[in-house]
Formats: sequence, C-alpha cells, structure tokens
Amino acid sequence: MKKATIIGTLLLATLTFSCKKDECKECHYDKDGGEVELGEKCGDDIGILEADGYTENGVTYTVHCGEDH
Amino acid sequence: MLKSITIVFVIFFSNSFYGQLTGKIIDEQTKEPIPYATVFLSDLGIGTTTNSEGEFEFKNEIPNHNIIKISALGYSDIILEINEETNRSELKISLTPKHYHLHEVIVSSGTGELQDYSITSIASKPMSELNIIPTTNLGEAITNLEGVYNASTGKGIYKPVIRGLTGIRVLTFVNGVRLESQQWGGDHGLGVSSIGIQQVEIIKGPSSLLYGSDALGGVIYLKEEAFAQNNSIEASASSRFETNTMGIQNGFSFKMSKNNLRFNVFANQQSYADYQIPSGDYVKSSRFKGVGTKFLLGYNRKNWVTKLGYNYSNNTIGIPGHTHDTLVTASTFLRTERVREEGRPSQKINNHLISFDNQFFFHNSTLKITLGQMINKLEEYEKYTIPEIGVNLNTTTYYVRYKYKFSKELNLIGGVQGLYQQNTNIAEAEEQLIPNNTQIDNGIFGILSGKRKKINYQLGVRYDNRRLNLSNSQIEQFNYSSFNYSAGASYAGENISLRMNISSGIRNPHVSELLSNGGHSAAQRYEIGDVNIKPERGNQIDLAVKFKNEHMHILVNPFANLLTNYVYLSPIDSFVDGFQVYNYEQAESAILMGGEIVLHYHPHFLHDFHLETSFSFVQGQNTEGNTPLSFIPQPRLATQITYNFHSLKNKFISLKNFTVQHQFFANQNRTVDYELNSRNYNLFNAGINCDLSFNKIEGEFGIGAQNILNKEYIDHLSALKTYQLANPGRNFYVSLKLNINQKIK
Repeated sequence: MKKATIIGTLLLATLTFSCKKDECKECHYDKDGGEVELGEKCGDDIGILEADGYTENGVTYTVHCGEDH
Repeated sequence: MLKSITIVFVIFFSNSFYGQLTGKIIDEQTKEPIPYATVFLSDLGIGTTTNSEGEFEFKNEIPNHNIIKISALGYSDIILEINEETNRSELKISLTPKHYHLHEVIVSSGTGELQDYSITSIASKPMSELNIIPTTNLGEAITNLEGVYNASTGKGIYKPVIRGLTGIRVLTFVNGVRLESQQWGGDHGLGVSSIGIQQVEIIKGPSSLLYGSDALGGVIYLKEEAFAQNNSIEASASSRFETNTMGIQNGFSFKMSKNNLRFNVFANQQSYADYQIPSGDYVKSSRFKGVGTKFLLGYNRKNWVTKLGYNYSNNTIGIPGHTHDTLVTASTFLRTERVREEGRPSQKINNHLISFDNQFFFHNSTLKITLGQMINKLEEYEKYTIPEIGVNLNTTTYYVRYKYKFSKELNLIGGVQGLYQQNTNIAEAEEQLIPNNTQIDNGIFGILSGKRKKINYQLGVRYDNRRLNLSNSQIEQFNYSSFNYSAGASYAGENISLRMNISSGIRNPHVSELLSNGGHSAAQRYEIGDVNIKPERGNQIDLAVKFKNEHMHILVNPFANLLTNYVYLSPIDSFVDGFQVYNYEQAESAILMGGEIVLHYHPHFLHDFHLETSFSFVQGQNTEGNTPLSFIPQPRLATQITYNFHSLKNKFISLKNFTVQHQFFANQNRTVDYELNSRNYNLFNAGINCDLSFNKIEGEFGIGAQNILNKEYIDHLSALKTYQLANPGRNFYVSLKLNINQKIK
C-alpha cells in the first residue's frame, strides 16, 4: 500500500509538472532591411501574430517569433 | 492448380538445400585446433565462435549458397560458399597463419561479391574503424573513406559527396531499401544516424545498372549490425559527450538469437547545442536534437531467409546562416553565449522506414525480394508556429533479383526494380516550392559475371522508365526512358591486382528542377525550375592498380566521369521576396576527373603499428563554357597512425589503441564567379581507446580531441562559407560503451 502511494504520488507529480506550459517567444517584424522588436509573446498570441502579421500605418508586416537573433 | 502449387512449394522448400552445420577450424601448418575463431554466416547475419577444441556448431537450418566467413587473430580470413558438396556434419577448415592484418576480407552487400574481385570501385570500412576517433554524425564518419567528402550546414545537416557529386546524384540504401528524404534541397541533409550500422560501403561513380536512376555519383550502402551470436543475448549501452557543442549522444541495444529466430532493437537520443568556432563565439541556430529507434527481425526456415526491419527517427535541426538583414557580416550569425533551446529557423524531419527482405536459396540459384516503404515528413520553420515549407514524401520500393549459376564460375543476375512515390505539400505550409506529384520508376536489368583463372569479368545492361505525374501543372506528365550499361574486368594476383570498369548512370530530372518556383529560406534563395531540363547522364571509366605484400598495400585509382546535360543552379541579378533568384540550368557536357591513392603500411618488425594515408582529388570542368564546376571538394591528404595494444582480458581497464589523424586540405581556387575560393588548412585529431572488463560486463572507454590546434578554417563544401562562418574549433570528447553477452539454451 505504501509502495503504491509513493508510486502514485510520483506519477501525479510527473504528470503535473510535465504538462505543457504556455511558451513565450521574442517576436519581431522585418522593416526597411532590419528587424523591429515586438517583445515577448506567449501561448496562442504567437500563432495569431504570425498568421495575421503586424499592421502599422495601414501596412501589414510579416512577424517571426522565436528566431535565433 | 493444386499440382502447380505443390510444384512451387517443393521448389521453394525442398530440404535438399538446407541443413545444420558443424565443423572444426584448424591451423593449416600445425593442424592444431584454433579456439575463439569467428564463424559468420553473412546472409543470415549471425555468427558463433569456436570452442577450445576449435569446434563450432549451427543448429539452424542453413540453406546452400550461404556465404560463410571465418576469421581468427593471426590468420588470414577465409570466405566459403556452402553448397551440395559441403560436409555439413564435419566441415574442416584450415586457416593460414599470417603475422599481419591489413584489411578484413569483405563481401560486398550490393553485389554479394568479394571486394577484391569486384569490378567497381568500392570503399568500405566498419563503423568501429570510421569512428576510431568518434564523429558527431555519419556524414563526418564517412569522410574517413578516400574520395568521400561531407557538404555540411553546421554540424546538424550533412550531405555525403562522392567524387564531387552529392544530393540527388547519390543514392543511400538502408536495410537494402532506397532512402528517400528530399535530397534535392541544398539544406536537406541525409538524416540517417549511425546507430545500429556495422559497415559503410561506398560505390564510387555511376552505378545505375544495379541501383537505377539517380545513382550517378555513387551509392552509400549502410549495412546493419549483425544479429547476436547463435543462441545468445547481447545488450549494450553507450554514451558520448563532446565539449564543443556540449553535445550528448546516448544509445541502447538489445539483441537475441535463438535457433532460426533472431532480433535486434536499438534506440538513441542526441542533443547538441550551438557549435563554437575557434574565436570563442557560437554559431546561432546550429543546435540540433533527435531520437531514433530501430528494429530488425530475422528468421530462416529451410531454404528461406527473411528480415523485417523498421527504422524511426525524429529530428529537429537548427538552420544556421540565416537572416532578414540586408547588411550582413559573419558576426550577424554569431553570439557570445551557447544556446540549446529549440529556435527558428529549423527543420523538423520525421522518418519511418520499413524493409522486408526475403531470400530463397535453390539448387543452382537464389531469389532475393526486397520491399520497402519510407514515409518522410519534412517541415522547415522560419516562424515559430507556421511551417514555411512542409512536404510529405511516401515511397514504396521493390527490388527483385534472381541469380542463376550456370557453373561455379559463371552467373547470370536478372532483376526488376522500381518505386512509387507521392510528394504532397501540407496544407498549413506558407510556400509550395514544388508542386504535388507522383513518380513511378521501373527498371529491368541483366548482368553476366564470371571468372576465368584469376580474371573476373562482368557485363550488364539495364532499361529504366520514369513517369512524373502532376495535378496542377500545364504539363501533366513527364516521361523519361534510358538504357544503362556496365562492363569491366579485374585480375587478382598474389601481389598485384588490376581493375578496369566502364559504367553509365542516369538521373532523370527531379520535379524541383522542372517546376520549382518559390523562396527557399533555409537555402537563402528563390529557385526557378525549367520544364526543358533533360535527363543527366554519366559515363565513367575507372581504373585501379593495387600492390600488396606482407608489409603494405598501395592502391592507385584514377577515374574520369563524363556528364552530359549537367544540371546546376545559377544565380541571376534578380531578387524575389528578399531572396536572390537562382535558375536551374543545364550544360551540354561537363567532366569530373580525379582519383584516389591509398597507402597502408604495416611493417613486419612492428606488428601493432598501422599507417594509413590517402590522397583524394577531383577536378570538375564545364566543357561547354570551359569554366570550373562549382562546389568541387578541396584536394585532401589524410593520414592516420594507429598503435594497437594487446588488451588484458582480466584487467578492469587496459589500453586498446592510440590513434593520431592528420588531414591536409589544399587550396581550392578553381571556382565559378559566384563562389568563394578556399584556403588550405591542416587538422589534427587524437584519441585513446581502452578496453574495460569486470564480471560479465565488457566495454570500451574512449577519450580524445578533434581539431587539437583550434585551427580556424572554412571547408569549401560548407554552406556557411558564403558568410565566412568558420567550422567548429577544438573539441574534446569522452565515450563509454558497455556490453553484456549471455548464452541461452
């Protein structure tokens, strides 16, 4: 019984801590041959921003997150 | 109908072709038994060792025409074929004592011939020798073979180069099945790990006769590790750590062999951070990680030998040398701290490879049927969540060979080979660089080979057809047909052997060359195909002279490969989406000339000393424009000195060998106008391997360093040369492998 409790607790702890957390990534868009930083974005915001792009003064720019720069 | 089935059954499973095998190995001169000699059945992939009386026994049903190899320390290897005349209950084999051991006798995986009698240029070495100083990947390991180079993008992406040709001009076979993994892309690496591979065999030059379309530059044949010794269990765990990338590679294997059934299981995991250049900086996004498993099941019954294999790998590989900036210097791609975390841009590559190999041994013939299924998914990410390119490549292959023996000295091999391949872009991807397509290849060939006294000869022809079907294109189908040939002879004398071969190869156009139209950010270019691209053809003449005596062997192997309709990528002064435009173009003819010189010196007075040196050289010329071909490797002089110690089995740790390697790469100034010249450089590596032994566990411990002098160099074939990004600096490594073997009843 004691063994089962320990194993059960360990399993629960593993599952709890191994759950996927919201990932956060630095994002930027490309403008005039350089990169403009948008700061850190997390979770679904990353996908939305990368899919829709970033609009500034009516111009929509391509956004990249998590790039190694 | 029933009668026909019965006849087929009798032919296939007649008991006159198989049986158990028992024998004794003795010294030819003293007639004394030889204990601990290795007896290996190459078609079954199993072996055993002789007992203290020199006796061995296989209780399996071993069919006729199986190749049996006997080796023992201090004796010459012997290769025999089991046939009707073999005394299966009391086979007596005599080995000739020899004080030296230059190279083991190798049976070619592709042709089943002894390498010394082969008419084609084959370089082959066991992985243990290629990795005597361990390498990070298979691409680096095979550069220890003469004439073979590595076109790399950092340490994670590698493409083997054989005599100046690479990518879709080189075919790779795993478990006898053709590997299809989008090799057309400049940044698409081979993606095969060295786990579970025992031997690498490189067939240099056009080899379409046996391997079909695309075998223009050569073939890489990866031979799987043998099964466990007869009626035994073998398990191993291995780990390797290197300082340059803080890279770690762990592996595990379990093998079992019991009478007619056997299996191997392998698993591996690797994680490498960004690599460090000699100045101390780290190359951004050069990290990579991955996992892989491998399973191989073998079974034989009567005259049937079968192997079922499954390989899986999943890798995430960073793509270094990438930017959106317009003003770029080498420092754009460097940083001062090391990063391991997954970033962008990167590739995600997922591979499943299933192979099913069947051999049937008959009275005077053998039939080999190999079926394969490869599922490859390649995604290239520049954004974090949305792939820029994503392609699923499903390939079904078949290869049927029938070998008929007219006599002991004359064989006819006939066969058919082909594939059905579907290439589909995934819906989520932003770009479609190549359109969805279906490719169907079919080929038929015949080869006559024979032996007369000391001369071996071979002559063969082959017909191939490729159909390329496209759904959303103005041209719905491309159709190509071709004939190929190979003819050659070899003479194997006591001290001198000679070989001459002429062979052709074909490479039908890939859909990327015909219909590419898109930005390929990983390769940093916008690629445009041309529907008028014609099949590329190679005709090679290859000569070899080998001298050997008890102290050394020297091989001189020049070649000339005339290529017609040579396809290449050429940049034009135009930019689309920020990428320079590259067009697929074709030269009427080009020629690759060069060769390899190999010296292996092993003096009588120093049995444990080995000096191996090789010189590899290739020069490419576009004969139409009289200009050099681009990305031709630098001439290379490679030297390895090894001293083998006599391991003490009862000691916990004892020295096994000490190795020093030196590589000199000469200047490469024969370049085209869009390619940079490369400067010469010298590299030094050194390593020590020790044997470990405690209780029933045996193992090996290794320690050493690569690029000891921390030389800053840029390899001519590095994709990062454009940005003057250096190759890795000094690297220390430590490796450990533990094995446990257990006999089972």
